[in-house]
Amino acid sequence: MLKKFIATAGWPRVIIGLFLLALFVTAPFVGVRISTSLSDTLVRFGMNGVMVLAMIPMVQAGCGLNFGLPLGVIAGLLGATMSIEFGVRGALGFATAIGLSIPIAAILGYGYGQLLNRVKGDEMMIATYVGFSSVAFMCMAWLLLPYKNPTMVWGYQGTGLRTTISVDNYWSHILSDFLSFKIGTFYFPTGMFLFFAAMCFLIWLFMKTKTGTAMTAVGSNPEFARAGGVNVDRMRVISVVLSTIFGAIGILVYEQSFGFIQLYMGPFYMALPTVAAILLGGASVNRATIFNVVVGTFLFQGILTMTPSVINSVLKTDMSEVIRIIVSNGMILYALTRKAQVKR
Amino acid sequence: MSRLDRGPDKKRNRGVGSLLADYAVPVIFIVISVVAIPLSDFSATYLIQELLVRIGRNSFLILSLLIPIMAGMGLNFGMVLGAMAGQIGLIFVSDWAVVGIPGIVLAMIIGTPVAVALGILCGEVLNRAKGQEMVTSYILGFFINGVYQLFVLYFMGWLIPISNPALVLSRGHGIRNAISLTGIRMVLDRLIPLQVGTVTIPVATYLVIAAFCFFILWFRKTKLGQDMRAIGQDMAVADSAGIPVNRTRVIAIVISTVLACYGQIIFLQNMGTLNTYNSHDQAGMFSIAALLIGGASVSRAGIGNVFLGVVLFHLMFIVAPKAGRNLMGEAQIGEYFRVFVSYGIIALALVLHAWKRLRDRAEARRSLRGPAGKE
Amino acid sequence: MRHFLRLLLLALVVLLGTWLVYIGREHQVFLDNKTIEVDGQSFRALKSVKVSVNGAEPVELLPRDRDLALVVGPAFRIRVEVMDEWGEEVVKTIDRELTPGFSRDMMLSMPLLAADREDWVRPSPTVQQEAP
Repeated sequence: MLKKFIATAGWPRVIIGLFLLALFVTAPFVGVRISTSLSDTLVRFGMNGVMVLAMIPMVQAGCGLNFGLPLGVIAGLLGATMSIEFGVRGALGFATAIGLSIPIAAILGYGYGQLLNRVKGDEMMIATYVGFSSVAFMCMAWLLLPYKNPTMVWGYQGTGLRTTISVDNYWSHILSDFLSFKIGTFYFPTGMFLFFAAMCFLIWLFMKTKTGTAMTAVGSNPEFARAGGVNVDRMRVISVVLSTIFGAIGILVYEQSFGFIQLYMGPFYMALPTVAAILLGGASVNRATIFNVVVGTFLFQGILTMTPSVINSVLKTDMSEVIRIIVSNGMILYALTRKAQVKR
Repeated sequence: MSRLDRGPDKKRNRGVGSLLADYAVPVIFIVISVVAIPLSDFSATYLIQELLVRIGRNSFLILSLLIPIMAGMGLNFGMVLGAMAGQIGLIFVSDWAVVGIPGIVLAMIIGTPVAVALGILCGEVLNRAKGQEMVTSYILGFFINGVYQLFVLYFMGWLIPISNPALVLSRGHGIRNAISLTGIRMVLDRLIPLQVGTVTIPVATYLVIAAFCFFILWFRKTKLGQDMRAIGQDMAVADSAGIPVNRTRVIAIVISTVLACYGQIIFLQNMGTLNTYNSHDQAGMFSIAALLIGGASVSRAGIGNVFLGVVLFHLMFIVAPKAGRNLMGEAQIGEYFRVFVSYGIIALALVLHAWKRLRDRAEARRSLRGPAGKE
Repeated sequence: MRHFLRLLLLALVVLLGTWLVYIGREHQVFLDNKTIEVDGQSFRALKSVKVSVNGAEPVELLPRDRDLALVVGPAFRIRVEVMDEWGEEVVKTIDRELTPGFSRDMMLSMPLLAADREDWVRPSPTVQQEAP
């Protein structure tokens, strides 16, 4: 029974799950408040959830893990900065940001999808570098684009965007504070969770449509899908576009909770933790579900929030960064090496 | 044997289009340099001096990438593992205050077992991810970076004794961000001094690099080298020919990792400062970008590509910020352009390679179908 | 046999490493000209002394001076010229060869050397500072 569970869940997940459990158990003994850390975990879960969700379409369509997530993030950043530039505030501002970033993400995603169709088999490596180079390209663009709003532009030069832009007066916490409540030190960002649930529902709904099932068919067996009259390349492009759009929405959700827009090299390493989270939830390189997203994001963010507080009070040193690097990349490595084993 | 069959065949199939695709990257770079050099206003002697220094500094690292490519394992993003091993060697050497050439040799001796162990690990992992070597080695680099930080940031000065307080963080354990390598700074470069006009040439470093080139030329002819090339051509064929595929692949990675370790030591003796937590990251990215700029592809790279690449890449490296300032009034633009080009070029080269591979495969399918249709 | 050869090779590499440490180690040599108390006796700082390490340009030390010389390798030569009060004429020339070997840093006390005592090689001040 136990052996079977470990076999299906995989060693790394069991170890990490136990590790997180141990952290929660030891937390009260070393003077870390459970309620604060739990609410921190939940907030970060909500912040990152949608971005992790963005992995699903591409994985399901057989395009592999979306290491090119920064592309979607860039679309989101463009939407966010434009909404501020136009001076739209509040819920409308956030809606504007989403509305503006979706078409940008769709265009970028279309081009990205076309590219990935021409390099089948090498998607992940190329996606990584497409992500990196687009981030570097946007670094130049942030300096040159004609933004004027003084909250965003370097004061003394009058041109070029700042590295971090506060969204305080625009749409900070617009989702998080909707219907949110507090019990003592425990804070629950209801709105953000409702939004995340809605996004999950959208993905679920999409996967049930004819296009969605066709996409899954392409991912599990492209030859078979082709024989069944499915346009493989088209399905793949659709999946990439969807992933990119969700990436864009994901970063907007992240920013409204975080309170800042991070430009320049900010989106550079966005992809790795997201990829690690979904893998941690039990997804593989070619199969992912919403359940994987929920479990993975919770586990991953749980470790990220718990390790600094607990480990620091036990060892008196901050090892969280190192643990994050080892856990996230170890998880990706595990998934990559497993896929090939199954194949052979 | 398969090489003989394929050699002429490949050449025949090559049209103008794929020839252009082969050399697209260097050509783009030559164009960029031709435009950017006059914009930067640097004098010729300054450029030559800088290039000579950078060729000496970087070539060894880039050369270490060649052997895995020969074995068909793509670009070894895992070379950062070797770089980390070299840095561990340097940390100990500066702790023990061993200076000069003995210091460098000792750093290499300490780094070698670490690099071998990491190389075996890397090779084993890559054997479990055949066909995905590049992305796997890339992530492995990140993973081992975490382990490296665990050791250097927490264990050194605590579990691993470090006696020199100048190396340790004020909290009592962990190595400082930047270590000044005064004792071994440029000792190899200045071992045989040579000055032509105002230009200094690091002769000894060049001799080491030349020796390495001869090693690679010789290695290709050995039994092991031939095996690697056979595996690079076709793993299944090599396997049926009785070549121990997995073992040979591990050896290829081990050699590359050890050489990257030495390369990083040579690189850092020229720089004179070890950035404990990010010197190795840059080593991997810049070396791969330079090799690709030299016209190498994921499956084919020679010594010529290394030197062409190092010259073109670093020419841009020197020239871009200044050209950016003169053109746009801001050096930052040139700086970002440089980053963009390094990543973009890797992306472009990977795309071109994947593209070509798919096209070759489609062509092969067509040629198989061809005679069958006639019958 | 194979194992034996490997062990031999390993031993050789370790030996090579040790030899490299031996010939490549850098020692910080503090040249000290301060009044020093040993065995209840007090040795006064010299009025003026010129010190040259490994035949390099001599440095002049006045009372209470301390200078640092870096030497590489297991042994080095030192020439100490004790000057008269006005720093013009050499009163006494002492040539010594020192072998720090594997040890790290050291301090050389000029007053003790001038008094022909054997204990003029003292532990380095950095070690002393670390102790508390």
